[in-house]
Amino acid sequence: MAQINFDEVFNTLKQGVTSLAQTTIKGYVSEAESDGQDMLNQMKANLQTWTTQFTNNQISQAELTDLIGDQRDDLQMAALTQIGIAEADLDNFKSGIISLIENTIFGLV
Amino acid sequence: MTKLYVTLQGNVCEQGNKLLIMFKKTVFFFSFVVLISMAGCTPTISLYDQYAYAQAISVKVDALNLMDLATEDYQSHQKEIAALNVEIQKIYEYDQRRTKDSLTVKQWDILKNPNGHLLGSFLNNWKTSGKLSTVYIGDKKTTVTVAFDEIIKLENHKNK
Repeated sequence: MAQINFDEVFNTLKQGVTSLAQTTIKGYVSEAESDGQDMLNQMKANLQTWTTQFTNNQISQAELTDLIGDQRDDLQMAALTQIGIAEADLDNFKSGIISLIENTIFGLV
Repeated sequence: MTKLYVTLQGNVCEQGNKLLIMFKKTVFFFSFVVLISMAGCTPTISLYDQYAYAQAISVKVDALNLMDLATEDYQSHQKEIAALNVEIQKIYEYDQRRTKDSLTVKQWDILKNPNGHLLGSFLNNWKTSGKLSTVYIGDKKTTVTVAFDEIIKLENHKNK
């Protein structure tokens, strides 16, 4: 069996994990940021429309209240989606690390 | 002769010890790799499910089409409303039985809650009011679409 230099293996793994985090986790963060901005812009546009409709008696106060509640629920739905995506990405990250360890170590043996 | 024997015996013992240490290290090393692999194999969230994805899209289309009918009397569309509720119940039950799928189940809970907002409150308001205005229906369709899209988006992002 070949001799294994653990320091060398560990450094290779460290570099691999950094690069894996950059592709997996950072990709998720920028996507979440962009989604959040889109959602805020959409929310602003909706609130403007609904307020105008309420002022023009096109919707009732109860309907406006319901729509604002919808907006809050949509935000909650989006938050759950982001948590789910983060968890899926974390699973990807974990299995990426495992593959990295296996490939690095078995490549030496 | 005795000296040579002792030296040889010492060398054999030293070699044996080295081999034993190497063997122990190897066993420890492979156990570590196996344990790490096992830990990494346990997913945090359910995997992508084609049926759940397709059903969410199907229910979304049916719900939005039904919402357009709310300018008409609630009583005359009871059959369609009941059919939509059954479709939602089916996918809800399905998602409930998937392991580690609590986030999607929570999303369905929010969407269909008759005492909350979104689709649940829309159907409730339709029932109470008899008919709804085109403007309100249009506004509700925007928010309900976002809610369905979040369920669909989450399913689509699960690992395949």
